[in-house]
Amino acid sequence: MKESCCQFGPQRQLAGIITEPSERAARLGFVLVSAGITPKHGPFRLYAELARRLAEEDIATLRFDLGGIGDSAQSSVQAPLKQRTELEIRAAVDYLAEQRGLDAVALGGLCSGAEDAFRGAAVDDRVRAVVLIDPFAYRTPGWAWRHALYRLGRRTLRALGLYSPPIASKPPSDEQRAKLVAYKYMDRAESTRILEALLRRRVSAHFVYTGGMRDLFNHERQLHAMFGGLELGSSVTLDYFPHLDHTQLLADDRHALTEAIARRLSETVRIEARTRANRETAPPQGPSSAFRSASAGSVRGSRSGP
Amino acid sequence: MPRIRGAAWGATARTLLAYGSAQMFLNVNGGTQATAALELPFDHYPTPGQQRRLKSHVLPSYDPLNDATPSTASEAEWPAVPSAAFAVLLARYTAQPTISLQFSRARGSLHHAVTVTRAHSVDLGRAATVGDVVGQTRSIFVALEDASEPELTASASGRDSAAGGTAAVICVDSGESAELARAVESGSPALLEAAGTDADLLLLVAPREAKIALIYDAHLFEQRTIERLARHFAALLPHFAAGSRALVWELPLLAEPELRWLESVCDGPMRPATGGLAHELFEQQAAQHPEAIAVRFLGQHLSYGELNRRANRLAHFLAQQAIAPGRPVVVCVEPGFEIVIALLGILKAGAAYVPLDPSYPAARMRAILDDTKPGLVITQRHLKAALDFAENRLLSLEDVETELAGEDAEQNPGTVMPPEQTAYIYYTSGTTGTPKGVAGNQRNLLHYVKSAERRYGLSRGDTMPAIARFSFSISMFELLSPLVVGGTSLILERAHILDPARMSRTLGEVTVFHAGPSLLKGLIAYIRRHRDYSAFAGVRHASSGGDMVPAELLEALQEIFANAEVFVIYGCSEIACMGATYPVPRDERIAKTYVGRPFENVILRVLDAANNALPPGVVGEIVFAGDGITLGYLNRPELTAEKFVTLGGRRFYRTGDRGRLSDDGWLEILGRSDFQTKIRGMRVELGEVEHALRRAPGVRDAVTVARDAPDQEKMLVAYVVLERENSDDSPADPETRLAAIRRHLVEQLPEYMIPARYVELDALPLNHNLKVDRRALPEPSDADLRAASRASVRVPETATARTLAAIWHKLLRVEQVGLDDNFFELGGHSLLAVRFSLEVEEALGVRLEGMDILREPLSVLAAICEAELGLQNPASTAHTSARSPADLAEIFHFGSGNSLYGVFRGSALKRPAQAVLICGPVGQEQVRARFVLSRLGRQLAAAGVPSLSFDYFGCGDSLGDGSNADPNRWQTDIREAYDELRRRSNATRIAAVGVRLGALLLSQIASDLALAKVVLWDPICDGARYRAELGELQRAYLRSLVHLGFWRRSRARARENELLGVRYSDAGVRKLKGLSISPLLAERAAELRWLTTRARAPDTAALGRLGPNSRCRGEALDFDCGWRDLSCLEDVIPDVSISSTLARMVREGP
Repeated sequence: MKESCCQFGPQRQLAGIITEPSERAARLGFVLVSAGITPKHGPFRLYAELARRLAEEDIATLRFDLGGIGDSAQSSVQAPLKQRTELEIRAAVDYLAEQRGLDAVALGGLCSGAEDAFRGAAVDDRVRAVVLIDPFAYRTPGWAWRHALYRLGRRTLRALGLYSPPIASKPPSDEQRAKLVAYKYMDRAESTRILEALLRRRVSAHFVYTGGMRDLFNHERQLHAMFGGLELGSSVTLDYFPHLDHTQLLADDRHALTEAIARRLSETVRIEARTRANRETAPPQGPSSAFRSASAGSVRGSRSGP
Repeated sequence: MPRIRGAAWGATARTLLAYGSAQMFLNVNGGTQATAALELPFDHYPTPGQQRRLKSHVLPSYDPLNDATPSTASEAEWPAVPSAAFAVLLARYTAQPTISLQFSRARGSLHHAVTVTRAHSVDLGRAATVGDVVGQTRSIFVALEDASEPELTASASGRDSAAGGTAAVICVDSGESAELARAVESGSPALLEAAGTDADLLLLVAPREAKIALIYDAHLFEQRTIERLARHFAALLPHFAAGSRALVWELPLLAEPELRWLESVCDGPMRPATGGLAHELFEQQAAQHPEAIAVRFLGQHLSYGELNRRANRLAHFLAQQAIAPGRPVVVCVEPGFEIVIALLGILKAGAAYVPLDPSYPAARMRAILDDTKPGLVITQRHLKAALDFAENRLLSLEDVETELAGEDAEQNPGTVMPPEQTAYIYYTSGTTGTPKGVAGNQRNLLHYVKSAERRYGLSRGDTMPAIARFSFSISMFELLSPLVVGGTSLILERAHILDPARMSRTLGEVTVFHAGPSLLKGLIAYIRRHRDYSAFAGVRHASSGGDMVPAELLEALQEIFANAEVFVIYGCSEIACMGATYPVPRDERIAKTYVGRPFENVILRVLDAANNALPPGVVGEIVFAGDGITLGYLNRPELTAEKFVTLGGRRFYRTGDRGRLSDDGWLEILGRSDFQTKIRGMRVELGEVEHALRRAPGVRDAVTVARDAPDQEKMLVAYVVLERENSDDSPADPETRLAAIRRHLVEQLPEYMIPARYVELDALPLNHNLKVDRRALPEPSDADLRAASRASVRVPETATARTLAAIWHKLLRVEQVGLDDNFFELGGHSLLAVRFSLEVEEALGVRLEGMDILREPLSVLAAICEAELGLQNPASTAHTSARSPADLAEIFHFGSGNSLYGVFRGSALKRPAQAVLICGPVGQEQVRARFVLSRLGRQLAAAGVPSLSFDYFGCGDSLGDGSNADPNRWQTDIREAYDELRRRSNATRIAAVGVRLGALLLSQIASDLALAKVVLWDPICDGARYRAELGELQRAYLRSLVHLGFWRRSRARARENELLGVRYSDAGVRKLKGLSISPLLAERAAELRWLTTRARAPDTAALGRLGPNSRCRGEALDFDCGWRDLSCLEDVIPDVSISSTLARMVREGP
């Protein structure tokens, strides 16, 4: 595994680190978008650990700070935040793709990083997979009754003195009460639209939810219920860790998360490798195509299944 | 005398070699003493890591036996004399009255050689005699001899702790060995290495062999500089050998040949001016070529004949008004023909021409009129109302011309006047609050126009634009010089001059021009983008001056004006402007901006404080003599006596500029020694601004300082202490009061003297002499600096943007809000942002999102509001604002195995005075402190101070998986970061900022690093307590997660020694628990500061043990960072002036 710093973007204002296998060439690129105001190493170094784990799966990860976060300077483009973020993510994908000669990348992140990655995937054909850790979620009836049960359980624990919410040792100051940077998740119309577009392009979407999202998401089947109208198919996967917190404090928790993601993305690596192989062996259209396309069809057939 | 036998010399050499690479901080009388820096006459700056190339230069010696009487002869006697001469030589070169040297003595017995070294200061006050100094050095050597053991506490710091250079003296006792004598003579490498230590310049004294030599690094000094030093040493030594009673500052340093050489380069050619006075030369031109065009303005022109006639009319009129010879006549006009007519008319009448800028505020005009008491004021009809002057003596030129008609009035008056008659008065900024007038006579004026005309070959075919304001003395060059040779002066409206499009077109129509660097920068930028250079083929002379002219500007001029000779002109009103000029070479790269050699009939000298002429390479004050030296200051006899002095029978003017001559005799300016500065090329006495400030309403006291803005221009910053009591007239609100002060200044001072930034203080900082300590003044907040650093602040234009800006102005209390500013970067924080968002909702009905306010600039927030309100501005296009260098950081891996992640923010300076190492916290605290620390880095960079922050191994973006964390490893990381910073910044001094655990780690190794200053923020003082607190926080946090799944969570365990995301090894935890803040920190660092934010008592107690004393003190900020608060665990600490306080602590003097 080797790591190298890079600064890219039209004003070289974005700071990033590429983690990749040291012995072999990477077969997939992965751009990790910074979450909220946390720098590119991620909460409790999740991103750094994830990137290093993924290098073992032949994945080159570029984790970078969005403009104004961490060590990246603000882009001076006169445009709303969403647009600037999109341009910055595109710059990251451009950089990684060009520098490492990759034509397929995955995009991912945690929380706001996940949503930025999600939007970025919608407008870039090179993106073949997204990894979304605790992104948008929408309450469903299935969520509601489970939530009621959970609250009951929580009250019991509290009564038994086995649980105490994080109470400050003194009353919160004005600044803390302000809690300005409460994030507003993507609305369902937008997320549905993007997910549809990704499904059409057969982009793999790996969702990861933790218990930290309990207020919005609390059971596996909720993912399908949230997007009731959509046929999600095999390209959408979910790993649900109900007992993990939103930013995983314990190393073991982060390990569970990174393992799950590594598994999902290594699958994507294989899929992409097969797709590339198919493209390279695809026959030119001609009189004997009927025969050849049959064998191509059989190759496709063997690929079906998760 | 203890001897080292020849054979033991090698041992001595080896011993010396062993200490050679370390600069020694020594215990003299119990304290530590570093050798202070000397401004040695380096030819080249040291490059870090460069191998020294030592050479020796033998100096003339003297024979001790002749000079020392037997009773006083001792081992100390012989080295004392050349050492004393050496110290005096250094003092004369560096102008420092206290010379700090390392004195070493090498001696021993056969089997081990021992060196004793001490640092000592030799005091050379104004009254010091030769005998005094020899006495000092003698006692130093006696002390050296008495010292039995060398007390060496070596700290390997190398060069960094000295800004400038270091010098040393070593006395080597070699016994009867002739080997040493030969070694000294031949400059044997072993001897040189052994003797070299770390000093840049070393005097080697070998008493037995009666040999003296200078040892120097050939990378730093050229041979000829050393030879010059040697010559001067030779000039001084005899006085010291003879023990004369002369004052050391009066000893002659320069020998005859050198003095003669100086004269040859610093005396301009002496050529008596012939042909008449300035206006008479004009009259001759008018007689010869009456139809030639003299002045152009707005498409019209005046011929020589016409101009002469009109000037004559005025001259006759003035004669009729019985204006006494030399009496001032004020001219207050806007650009047009009037200025030239008035100038010539006044000169012909024998009166004195006093230009007054109509754009001055009334109070300033009043002050000038009161001071100069003119016989008459000539102005234009539309300006009459604005001038407060006796009606009957306030005339417009139109009135004059209608009054006087007829043939007689059009003849040359032919007034006879002596060359000493006052011809003009130019007003410049005064130190005591009112402008002062520099009065020049006819001789000065003639010298002024003729020297320029002769040097630059002005002639009939030349056209020159009048770019400078008429109230500035350089304007005479543009108005009059062409007219004495038959050329054309081109008058331009101010709007035309300031518009690069029109001005660049004009430059294509002239042949000669002169403009200040500020104006040129804008013009050149425009020309580069828009114009074809071939348009300027006709320009044959381009010059600049009045301010420091950057080399890039001169290169640009050469590039754009391909056929022009490019010059730099140096001078000031007091010497009639034409002091020295430098022809910029075309075929060489421009390494330095010299100001060159004197004009004809001008004498230039560089003098030290005792008025001795200084040799090339040595910095001193620049003074002028000759035909250009004006009469002095009107009505200010004491000031005139102070600045115009007679030396050696000649009248000199002391410019107050510091400079030096190159070996070829080119003069170079290095800055000023007083409180005068230039803002955009215009002279400003800070005292004048302060005077006006103190008289502003509600101001109790004020000082003004010129600060560098990052775009290399200067701006004025005013520090005011406001009256405490709220009288009825002064409102309580500070920004309203500051606005009122500004309004007052606008009425008193011209626009360029009005401070750009205002900082309110409770009191002005004083030094121990109870004078204002200007170095202790805080930087204006980085928002103000940043705003000023942009070439132009984009002012909010739409109503929406202005509304938002007004709310920011109110909440953030910043002077100016630009479209590219960001709320948090201007000093805002969450609570203010909430208030902002509420006020916007109230004002516009739009709700702005928190993330937007955090990350967007004003322009985008305005666009968002406009979009919401349906007021989308179709004209908004992508616009790139100028990025100041402070925004750009460089990220990289460094250290052993490239395992550490670092962020370096550099400075535009090649050799910054200071660089800062930021040792942040570990783990989650680092994430929390991120915002504050990166702002700190940006603020420092904006002030020219580079910085390096980094992640410890196993943390943040550094390598390492975060297990086996070890504080020992982190201390090594700090060391590596220190080296990396030294390497990248090339700074002379390194300071360090330690935050939380970073502070504790730093304190452990601060003694191994040479740190000029250590600044701590909420330091951890006790590792064991820190570990316990982390454990508590973690347990509480994990408990709070139980609700996510009781069984899983209650069984989930942290790994061994895992504390809030950082996993220590067993040894690491033990080490952590054993750490406590080292009291040595207070001793090792040159200075120590700390900032605490509502820290609990025990920690402050530990800090309290460190100070306060003169070098160590702390401050408290009334804010709770919540380091131990679980609910704050993932909250970023908002920067409520933490970064500005830390930046100030880093930058302020002791």
